Amino acid sequence: MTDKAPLPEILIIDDNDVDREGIRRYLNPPGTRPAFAVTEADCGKDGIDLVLSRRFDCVFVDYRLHDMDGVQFLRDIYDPRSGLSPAPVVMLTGEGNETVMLEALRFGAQDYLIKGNLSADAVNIALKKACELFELKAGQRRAEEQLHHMQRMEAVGQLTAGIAHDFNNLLTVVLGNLYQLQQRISSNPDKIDPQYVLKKVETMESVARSGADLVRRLMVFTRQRSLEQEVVDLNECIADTLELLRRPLGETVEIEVRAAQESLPVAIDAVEFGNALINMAINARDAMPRGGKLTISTQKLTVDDPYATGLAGVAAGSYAVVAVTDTGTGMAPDVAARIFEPFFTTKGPGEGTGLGLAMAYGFVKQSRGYITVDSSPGRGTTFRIYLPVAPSEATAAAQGN
Amino acid sequence: MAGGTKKRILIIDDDDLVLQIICEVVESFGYDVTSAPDGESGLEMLAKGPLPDIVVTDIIMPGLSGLEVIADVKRKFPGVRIVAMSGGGGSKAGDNLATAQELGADATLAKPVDFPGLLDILKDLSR
Repeated sequence: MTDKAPLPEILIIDDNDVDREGIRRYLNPPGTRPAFAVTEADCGKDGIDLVLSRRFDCVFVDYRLHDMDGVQFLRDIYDPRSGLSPAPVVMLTGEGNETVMLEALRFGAQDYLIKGNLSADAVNIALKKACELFELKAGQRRAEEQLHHMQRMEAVGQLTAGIAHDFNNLLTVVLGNLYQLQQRISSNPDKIDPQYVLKKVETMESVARSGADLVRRLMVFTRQRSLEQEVVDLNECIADTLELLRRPLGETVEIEVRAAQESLPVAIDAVEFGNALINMAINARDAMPRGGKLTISTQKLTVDDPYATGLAGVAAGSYAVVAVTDTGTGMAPDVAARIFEPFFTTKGPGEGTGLGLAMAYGFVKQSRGYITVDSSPGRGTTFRIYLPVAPSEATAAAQGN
Repeated sequence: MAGGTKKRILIIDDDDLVLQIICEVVESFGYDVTSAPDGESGLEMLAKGPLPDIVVTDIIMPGLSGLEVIADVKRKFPGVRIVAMSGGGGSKAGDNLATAQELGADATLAKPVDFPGLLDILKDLSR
C-alpha cells in the first residue's frame, strides 16, 4: 500500500464518548500509523445524515441511541431500490441483548458485536466480515439487475422485428403520398388542388402519428429499471401489450382474448407483467411453427380450499387469473418441469437466452402470485398466472388510518 | 403504354393503407391494377382470370404467406412475372427476399417501397 491510497472510511455512531473512543482505539491502536479514517457521531440523526451524504466503507452503530434504536436507524438508511443500506453496518449492544441483535441482522445489519466482549480482533474481524458480506450482497444485486436487463432486451428484440415491419409499411404510405404530391406538382405546377394536397397531408399525418404511438409503446419496454408496483386493471394491461404483440404473432397465429367482464385490479409492475406476457406469447408462437391459436383469458377466482381446487401451495384468497393457451407442440413432463429455470432453453443458440420464463416466474413471485404450466406433447400448453386481487380504493382507505 | 394495351398488375398486401397507395401510384404509372388483401384471394383472382402480367406481393401476411403465393404462381402460371416486397420482421426474420428470389420471384423490393424504383421494375418486367 502506498501513502497515497485513501484510508477506508469508518463511521462510529454512539452517544457514549468512552464507547466511541474504545472502537476507535481498536481500529487505530495508539502509537501505530492509522489504518482507518474515522468519523464519529453522537446521535442517530447525525449518523443518518452522514451515511446518506458521504460514502463510508463501514458503519459501527450502537443499538441504543438516545434519539432512536438500531432498527429505526437501519430502516432510515435502507435503500429499497438496491435492497441494501448505503454501507455495511455492524451493530453494537450491551450484553444480554442477543435477541435485538438478531432483529438488527434481519433489518440489514451485516454483523453485531457485544460491547462487553470487545477486542481489537473482534472489531477488526466484524469489520472485515461485514464488508465481505455487503460486497457479496451488492454483487448479487448487480447480477440480478443485469439478468433483468438482458431479459428486457430479449423481449425488445423480439418486438423490434415486428415493429420494423410496421414501420416500413407506415413509411411506404408516407413515401407514396409524397411521390404523388411531387408528380402532381411537377406535372402541373400552376393548377394545384388544395383539397387534394390537404387529403394527402392528412393521410401522412395520421400515419406518422401511429408511428409515434408505436415508438412510445416500445420505449416503455426499454426502461432499465422497473416501476414500483401500482394498482392497475389486468384487462387493460393485456390490451396494451397486445397492441405490441399483434405484429410478431399475428402473421401465423390467431389471437383470441376472452377478458373477464369485471375489472381485475392487481398491484403489479405493469411493465414486468407485459414482459411476462410477451415471453409466454413468443414461446407459444415458437411452439406453433405452422400457425395456430393463442387464447388469452382472464377471470376472477376465489380460492377457499386450495387442495379442493387442485391448487395446492396457493394461499386462500381472491385472485385475478390470466391463462395463456396455445395449440402448439406442447412439452414432455421433463421439459415442463424445468421451464422456469434460468438459462433453460429448448431453442437453438442465438434464438433464446432461457431467461424469459425465469423472469416471468420472478415477476409473479414478486407480486405474491403463482404461475402454473399445464402441457403435454401434441396437446398444447397453458400457462396460468394467479395474482392477488388488490383491495379496491374504498376498502384500502377503510383499512388504513 | 407502347402498343396501346395496358399491362395488368395484381397487387397483394394485407395492410390496407399500403395496398391503397401502391395501387394508386401504379395506376398513375399507366397500368391496369387489381388488388387482393391476402394470399388466398390473390390466388383465387388468378384462377378466375383474366391473368395479370405481373403480380406484386407482400411476403409476411396472415394465412397464406407471400412465399407460398410465389411458389403457387410459378407452378400454375409460369408466364406471370413476380415482384416480392418485404419490410422485414415476422416470426423467423431471416432473409425473406432472398427466399422469394429462390422460389422464382423476378424482382424484389424492400419496404419502405421506393416508388420510382418500383416503376423501373415494372417497366423492365413489362418489356
